[in-house]
Formats: sequence, C-alpha cells, structure tokens
Amino acid sequence: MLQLGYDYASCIRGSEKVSWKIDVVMPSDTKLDFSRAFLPEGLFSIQKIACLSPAERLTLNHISGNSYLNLFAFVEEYITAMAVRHAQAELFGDHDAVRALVRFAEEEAKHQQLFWRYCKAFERDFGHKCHLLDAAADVAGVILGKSPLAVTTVTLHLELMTQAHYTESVRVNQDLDPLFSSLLRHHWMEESQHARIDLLELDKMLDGADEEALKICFDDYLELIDAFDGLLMAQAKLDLQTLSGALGRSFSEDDGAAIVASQHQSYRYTFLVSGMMNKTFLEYMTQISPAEAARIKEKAARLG
Amino acid sequence: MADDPAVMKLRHMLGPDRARTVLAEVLPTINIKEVKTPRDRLKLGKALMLRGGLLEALGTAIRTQALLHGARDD
Repeated sequence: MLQLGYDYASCIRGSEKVSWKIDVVMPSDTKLDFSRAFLPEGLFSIQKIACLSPAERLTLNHISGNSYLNLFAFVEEYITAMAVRHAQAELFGDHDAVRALVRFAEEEAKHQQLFWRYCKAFERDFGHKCHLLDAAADVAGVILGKSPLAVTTVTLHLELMTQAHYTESVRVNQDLDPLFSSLLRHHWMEESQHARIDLLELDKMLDGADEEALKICFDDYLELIDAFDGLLMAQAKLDLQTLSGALGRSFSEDDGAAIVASQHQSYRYTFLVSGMMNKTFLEYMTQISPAEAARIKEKAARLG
Repeated sequence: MADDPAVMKLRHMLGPDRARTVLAEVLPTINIKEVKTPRDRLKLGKALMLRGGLLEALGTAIRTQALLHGARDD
C-alpha cells in the first residue's frame, strides 16, 4: 500500500553503519557545562517569558533540555516493547525483519540508558532537585493497549519528529552546548533507520486492514495525542517547580501561570504539532487515507 | 492456504509433511478448515501454544502476528 523503495536488509546495513556506544558518546564521568543553551529557541520559546531575567531564562532552557531528554526516555519505554513485539511476530519467518526489529529494540533501550545517564549527570551538576515525569511503564501499558496500527503510527510520528528537531533546529545552531548537540546527533543517526522500519511494519499491517481498522487507528492516534498533551502539561508544571527550586524564588500566580503556559506551548509544538505537520509523516498518512491526514492537520492547527 | 504467513512459518520450521500433519490435527479442534484471516491465525496460534516446545514458540509468534494484523484476543 505504501510506496517504499527499500527493505529490512537495507535498514540493518544502515543501522550497522551508524551504530555507537554509550560510553563513547557520553562517558559516565562527563561533567556538564551550563554556560550555553541546550535547546534552540525554535523548539523552546523561552526568550518571550517576560518575568525572567536572561540568566533565569538560560536556567529554564537547561531545565527544559533535561526534561526533553527524559521525555524521549519516557516514550522509548513503549517503543522498545513495541519493537520486541513486532520482532516476535516475525520469528520463524523473515530473518531480515527479525534482525532489523531486534536492533531497533536494542537501540531504543540504549537511547533510554544514554538519556537516563544524562539526566543523572544533569541533576548532579545542576545541584538542584529536578522534577521529571515518571511512571513510563504505566504509560507504555496504556499506549500498547491501543490498536497496533495506531501505536506504529504514533511511533513513526515521534521518529520523524526527532529527526526534524535535529536537522532543522539543532544541527544548524552553532551556539548550543556541544555535548547536548552531540547526544541529539547520535540519537538522530539511529532514529532515521527506525522511521524506515516503522514504515515497513505499517505497510505490512495495512495489508488487509479495512475501513473500520483505519478508523480505529486514527481515532486511537488522536486519542494518544490528547493523552500526550496531558503529560506535557504535567511536565510543564514540574519544570516550574524545578525552576523555582533552582532560583530560590517563588513566582506570583500570574508569573507562574505564564511560565507553565509557555512551557506547555513549547512542548506541544515540539512533540505534537511538529510531528503531526511533518511533511514526510503527512505524505504517508495521505497515502493511507487523505481524509484522515486532513483530520490530523486540523487537530495540529487546533493545538498550535 | 500455503501462502498464509502462519502456515508458512509452520512449513519453514517443521517441513511440509510435519506442518500438514500438525494442521490436520489442530484445525479440527478449533473448528477451522483453512487458515485465511488474522482471527484464524489467532486461534491457530493459541491452540499451538498449548502444545509446548517448538510448537508453543511457533504459536506465540503466530498469535502475536495475528494481533498486530487486527485480530482481537477476547
């Protein structure tokens, strides 16, 4: 159904070519440097928060960077489980598919460990308590309970979005912290194979999927977008708590609300809207169902 | 039926003769004549899972594949 010009074997070759080790990308004794921004303003619009000084904005940028990586580790919990499930489905059949999917799962688990290592180092060197979303396993359970087509569609959204963050906003920005940029670069290198595998898996699942199955897929996808939005709001509130602790100051109700609203809007754009409006994502969604692709665009416009 | 992904797994791992024998034994117990849909594959996978050993492993893979292709595990 989808127009794909590659196979699982090419995904394995691509994965082997770019593979890296956590200890090389971020040795365990790495000290973090807080002199430069971690995230580009294009992903997190912090400069417009009027109640913060430039130094305080930089601190919020660092807090956001830490939360951003934790969110990836958070969603990678379900993606690893998804990839293992898909690999199990291919056992005793297509060996290239099994290898590609097992590598996919291993790389996702590796990314989680890398990001957890970073978050631990961040809290150590930042010197203040960092409030981050937890209960990733519970959320993974909810996501994996949805239609498998929807789960793979959400995963494709996340993989393509991750790549766009790096190629469009991070790679081109020389002012960002080099370690943070390097983590995102290594993440991007492996994620690009994952998006290709997601599409191969989607293509297989679409074979024989009727109109009802497609409707359930997109209903579930949009439901998951709403659920993610709730999590992002929760993280925005946690960021305010971390910022308040780090700066040793409390905020008025209005200023606190402005910071939470700004953080939530940034998360929404970064994790939801930029994925839903990703050109490649929409092209494939249109191949599956032009009407459903239009629904995704409408939803993105409402969130944006 | 020979092109069905579940049947292909059985043929691949057990060989055509043993696969045919296993199907002849199992399909009547789940009231299926031919494996055609994800629902059929799910029932076949679950029946094989009760048999232990390699058949259990094959059944687990067949069941998972059926679920990914839209079968509902009631």
